[in-house]
Amino acid sequence: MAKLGPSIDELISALRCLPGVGPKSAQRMTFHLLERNRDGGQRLVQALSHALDNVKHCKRCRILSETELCSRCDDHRRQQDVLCIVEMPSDVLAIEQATQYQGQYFVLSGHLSPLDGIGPDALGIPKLIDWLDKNIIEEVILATNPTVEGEATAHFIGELARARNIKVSRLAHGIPLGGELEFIDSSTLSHAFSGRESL
Amino acid sequence: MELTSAFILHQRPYRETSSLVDALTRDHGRVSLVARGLRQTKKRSSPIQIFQPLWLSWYGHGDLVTLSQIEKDEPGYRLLGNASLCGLYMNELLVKLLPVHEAEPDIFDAYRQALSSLQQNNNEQITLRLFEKALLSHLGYGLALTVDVESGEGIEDDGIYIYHPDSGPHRVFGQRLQNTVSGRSLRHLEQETGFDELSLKEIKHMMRSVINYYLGGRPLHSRQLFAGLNQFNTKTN
Ligand SMILES: [Zn+2]
Repeated sequence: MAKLGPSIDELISALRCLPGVGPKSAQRMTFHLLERNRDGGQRLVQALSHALDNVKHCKRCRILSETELCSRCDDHRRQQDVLCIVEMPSDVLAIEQATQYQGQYFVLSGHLSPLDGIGPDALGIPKLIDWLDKNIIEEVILATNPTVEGEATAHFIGELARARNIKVSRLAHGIPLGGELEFIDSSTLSHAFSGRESL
Repeated sequence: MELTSAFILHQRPYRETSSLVDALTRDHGRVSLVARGLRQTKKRSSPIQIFQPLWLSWYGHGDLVTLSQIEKDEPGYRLLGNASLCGLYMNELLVKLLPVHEAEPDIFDAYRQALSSLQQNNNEQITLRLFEKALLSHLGYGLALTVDVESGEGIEDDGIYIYHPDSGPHRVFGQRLQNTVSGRSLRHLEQETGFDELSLKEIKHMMRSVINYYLGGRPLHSRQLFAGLNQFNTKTN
């Protein structure tokens, strides 16, 4: 890429830390901010800097939060003895929007992946164990993704909970609502078939 | 090129929309591929999983080639519970021990057989030890299990041996040494039958030291998973 001056080059290269932003898009964003929307750029600077200073992780569930405890963990009306384990913060929002779930969450920020060097510590498992040991938890809901790694992670945490006599459940994996068998991909169908329920 | 039988051992995001895929193929050994746009299509169909038999083809030369075609073969192996951790362990072993582009159909077949055995919930310890044995053997690091390499005498059931990864079993007498393996356990591993709790335990330790030797100090993260499960569970029990 042509050198446009150190400040511009640095901005282009900095913008590339965003997911899905390559050299072309970064250059387009840079020109847009500098040529047409300096006010927007100023606002971006302040919002980013403010967020970086003020947003941390909830010390209980590990979701992003501006307070020590996030609003969900701080809400005493929520059920305290059910704990739902998810891979990503966005999963919490998805479950909150789609279900009537009123219990607690724990965000792993990923799944076990030995080949990436991601083990129990990176997922905050020691913290989770501490939670299980120091509180009365009746049920752990494993809501990790239906991938092999998600399955392995669910198994790992499930074993820890079972060893503490806590009921363990796993989200059912099945056919999308309104779907027709014929058009469902084979892995989903085989998953749903082996996970069938008696009526 | 023609499509070849394969499994994905590992994949990670690469650049904006691509994946870097580590695959085990039957006809070309381990291959590193760039899969362009694979992540974009993820949302539409269910993404390619590990333990899923595949047909693959690619173009390009050298250590990193580009995926051209990928199709699912038969239904993937479903490893549940502890078997899923065992599967991840086998994948890590293959990625760390297998050089790229060295065709070794026997390793592919041994891997597939081990997956099938794990899926059927056969004894995981036996499945893993036989897979490790086959892997070492086809890598050219075959185990010596029939003679005491020092004296040249046959292995005796009640003999106690220390297995040296670079040579084989050495018989030891008298003092209780650690990390020994009985002749009986060596026979179980040689004949691939008759295993019991004691021999499986001894063989596990022996295999671990042999594999460590060939890993040359690189850690196996999946081993820490098994260890973690024990550690976290015994702390409060
Ligand atoms: Zn929280």
